[in-house]
Amino acid sequence: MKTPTRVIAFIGASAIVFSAAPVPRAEAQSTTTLTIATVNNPQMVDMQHEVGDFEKSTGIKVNFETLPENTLRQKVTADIATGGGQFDIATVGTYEVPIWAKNKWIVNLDDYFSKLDAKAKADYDLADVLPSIKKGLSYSGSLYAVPFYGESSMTFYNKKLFKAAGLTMPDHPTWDQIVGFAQKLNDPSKNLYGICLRGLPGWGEMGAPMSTVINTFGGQWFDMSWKPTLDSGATKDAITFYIDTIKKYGEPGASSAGFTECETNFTQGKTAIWVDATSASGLITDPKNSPIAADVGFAYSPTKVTPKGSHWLWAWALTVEGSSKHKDEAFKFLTWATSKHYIGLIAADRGWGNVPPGTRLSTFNNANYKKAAPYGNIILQSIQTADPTNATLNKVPYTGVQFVGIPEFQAIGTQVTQNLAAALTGSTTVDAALALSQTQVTRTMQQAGYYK
Amino acid sequence: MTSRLRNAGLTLATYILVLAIFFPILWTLLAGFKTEATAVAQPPVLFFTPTFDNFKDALTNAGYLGFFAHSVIISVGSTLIAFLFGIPAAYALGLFPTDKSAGTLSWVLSTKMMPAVGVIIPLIIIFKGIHLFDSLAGMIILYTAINLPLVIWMMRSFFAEIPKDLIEAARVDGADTMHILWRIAVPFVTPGLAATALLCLIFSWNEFFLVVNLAGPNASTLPVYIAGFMTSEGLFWARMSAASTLAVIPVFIAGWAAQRSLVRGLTMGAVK
Amino acid sequence: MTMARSMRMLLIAPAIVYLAALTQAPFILTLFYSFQKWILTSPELGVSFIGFENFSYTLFQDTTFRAAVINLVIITAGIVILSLFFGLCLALLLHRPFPGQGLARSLAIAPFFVMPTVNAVVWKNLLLNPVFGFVSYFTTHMGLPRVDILAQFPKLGIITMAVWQWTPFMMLILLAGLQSVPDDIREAAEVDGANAWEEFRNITFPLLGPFIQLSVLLATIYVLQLFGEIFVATQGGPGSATTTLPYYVYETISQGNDVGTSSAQGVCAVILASIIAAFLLRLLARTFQVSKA
Repeated sequence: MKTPTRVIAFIGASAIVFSAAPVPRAEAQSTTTLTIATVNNPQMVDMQHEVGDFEKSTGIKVNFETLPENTLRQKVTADIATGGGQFDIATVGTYEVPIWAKNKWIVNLDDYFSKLDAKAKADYDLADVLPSIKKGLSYSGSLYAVPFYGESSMTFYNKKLFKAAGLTMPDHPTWDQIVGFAQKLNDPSKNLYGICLRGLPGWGEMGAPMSTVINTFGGQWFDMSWKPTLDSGATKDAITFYIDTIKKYGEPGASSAGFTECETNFTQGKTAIWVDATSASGLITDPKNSPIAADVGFAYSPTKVTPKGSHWLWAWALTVEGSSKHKDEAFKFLTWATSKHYIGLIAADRGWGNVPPGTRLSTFNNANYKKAAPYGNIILQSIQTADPTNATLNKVPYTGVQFVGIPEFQAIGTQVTQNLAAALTGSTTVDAALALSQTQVTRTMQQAGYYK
Repeated sequence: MTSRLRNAGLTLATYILVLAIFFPILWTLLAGFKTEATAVAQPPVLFFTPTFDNFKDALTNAGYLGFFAHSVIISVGSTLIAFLFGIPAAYALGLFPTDKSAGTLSWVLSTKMMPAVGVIIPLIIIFKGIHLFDSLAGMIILYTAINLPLVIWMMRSFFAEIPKDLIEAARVDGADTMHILWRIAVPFVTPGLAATALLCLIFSWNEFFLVVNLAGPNASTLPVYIAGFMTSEGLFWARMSAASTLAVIPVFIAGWAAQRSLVRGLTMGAVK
Repeated sequence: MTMARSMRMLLIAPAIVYLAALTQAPFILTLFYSFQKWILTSPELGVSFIGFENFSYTLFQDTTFRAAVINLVIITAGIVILSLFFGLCLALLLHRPFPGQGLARSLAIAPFFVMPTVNAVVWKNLLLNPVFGFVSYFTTHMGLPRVDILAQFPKLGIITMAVWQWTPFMMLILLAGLQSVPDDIREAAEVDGANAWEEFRNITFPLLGPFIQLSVLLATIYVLQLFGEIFVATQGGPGSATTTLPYYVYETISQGNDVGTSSAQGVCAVILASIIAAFLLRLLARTFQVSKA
């Protein structure tokens, strides 16, 4: 490029740069803009499609920032911890809400609900929201987030494969029965596998189903003095069982298999049984995305010694950040996105099978929903009986069904499942992985001040 | 005869190699036109009825254009400014090195040794403090600092290859430094300029961790847009493939333009 | 040929000042935090000074940190060496004039255009997944077992993905360098009767020296920060098989929310990178000194 051209190009670029530089502008007259941090799960995508309804009726504009779950959590945490200011509303889960509430990072919604007029209160009908979900989103008795969709875990199975092998899945299977089925249906030579269980490391990935197995075997993550109990007793049996089952009858590539990979395996007909989130039910019965949509069977999550904690409790919820300058408007959005009106919108546009599940009793009781989602009763029962304050056989110092509700669990759960993934691929034994985990977890808890 | 055969053989080998290299990208491109179920079907599906849904969705619902505009402004801006600061420095260090040059170059390189993940909280704090958070200017300034060492190191090597007689002759003729730099030296190293510019553009275009943490709706770039398609619940590969194809097209065009400049500098003949 | 000192300052200072202003402040703040204890999700613990505790834990007690350093060296070396080799081959092949050279070059550079995270998603799911990936489809139809590369050979998987992406980087620099090798010298060698290999070894390779040095040094500095592929494809696992230093720092700050420890790890990363760079510079200088003689 000749010099004059270069000079012109540079001037041009500077012009662009400086015109793009932020000029402090007066807050736009009356249109408030809300910024929402959200994940890209199908139900959230639907929310973004429907936002026109909210913007038209309130005149408030909404900006969505969509990121993968872990990146979102990291970004929002970093933002809040350094003074906030980026987001008005954050999409959070039952793990973060009590912790962030304790840190005073999010707003107590009780005050806002009490300020609603009688008609608005009746329309919203907070009592309709499932109590166990509300419990998961509360701290010190106050509600800090409203659930957008909720889920528990359950068993999915391929009815065609079961029929061909002459097997019947009971409504409430035990883990022993599941293993029996998996063994009979496992046929690697035909690229067919008995069961798909998450093996992807991560407190919210492998950690979730594995924790439910720990619970139902009668084990727990910590004893009452916060010492980890991973390498002994029922906990060790549970973890060993989990890893061995995957190794014997599970999917190859297990250490990279999370929700999405197992869903793919299952819908492609390569796996006979899949134990995972109830929210998958809509996806795997959708003929557009699932070649086996017509053959999906449903059952409760398997149990062993106790039904307590055998199925998890999770909700993606919307919460208002303490640093938001538009808390009232944000609360309006919260109540819009979780209202019966919103559910009606989705039902009209996408069908009752795709409404945000697991939050309201009225949804489960709706005749159209029952027709579109015949498995709905299993989901309802599962959510209602999942109690984060009573999920283990023995008493524990923590709350949470498939996680431990302490800020350190993000690191602990990920580290432990990372060690176990190595056991899954055979580069180490479960015993060695658990021994290492014990040492690491103990150290983390010491550092965090739980004990000396 | 053998030479012709050898040439043909080499050309064939080149094509096979290049196509093998390009295959994953081709596969991604195809996936963008499939439905989610088809994209992950086994055996892999080669012939299918293409759908434009994913591309339509990516362009309209996900707001591609906004991210695209940010990406262009930030990448081009930071590359040009890095050139503005870096080329004079590279010229001096390459053609007129002193004892201190090695030290200077080492220090320049050392600014790239801190992993972004280790410095992100301080960066967030600083950016918020000087009001550069979530701004195009802030990202351009930051990316310039990241690209400068690349420009200095690369262009220094190319400048160092310039025959000294060329420079000497111009000085004898009475030309001043700026004239020599911009009118004689720079045109000589066009291959280097093209390669450096392309690399700077690519690094800025694809950078993810810093922009996701330091930018919001006013400055988020295409990598953030693509990340938005990844979810831990639900299939997304076809949609993500479409999104990343859209994001890669501009870079591909830039690459095509750059590799055309990878021809010998026009002034090579002038030395004789 | 010399240049007046004031002129040199005028040419170099702006760049140096710019870099210093932008990189030193964050670095100093990071250094400051490396001596503090600050857990983001436990604000009640505050930000408190704890001296060298973060460093002593990281360097002397943290077994994962040690593994991360070793993994970093292995993976980086693998990527750089293999990329250099393939990049050189490609540069030589694409330097020759042949029909469609422009298209071939564009296709060959293409892998470098792709975002590292997208690269990883594509390789992990569409290619390397043992159940529905392309590679396993291929191998099972050739009679080979169904292999899960990311589980059995995780480092190899990561290196493969990264080599695919970084070979064009090497190729680009070396190609530009090849263009700088005057044709008349090569033609003279051909006239003298040298065959292709001799011509390469005695003329092209030494003249490419500075560019090989440049590309290896730059690639090493960039690859030391390799993150996207590991983040998406293996998350540092299985176990800690692919946990490199940058990834470990990421885990510390994003899972552990531990600013103090991650800052200390970052400082250690800088020290390590400096050592590697210094070693590399010496090695490269010696290699090309010999061949120049």
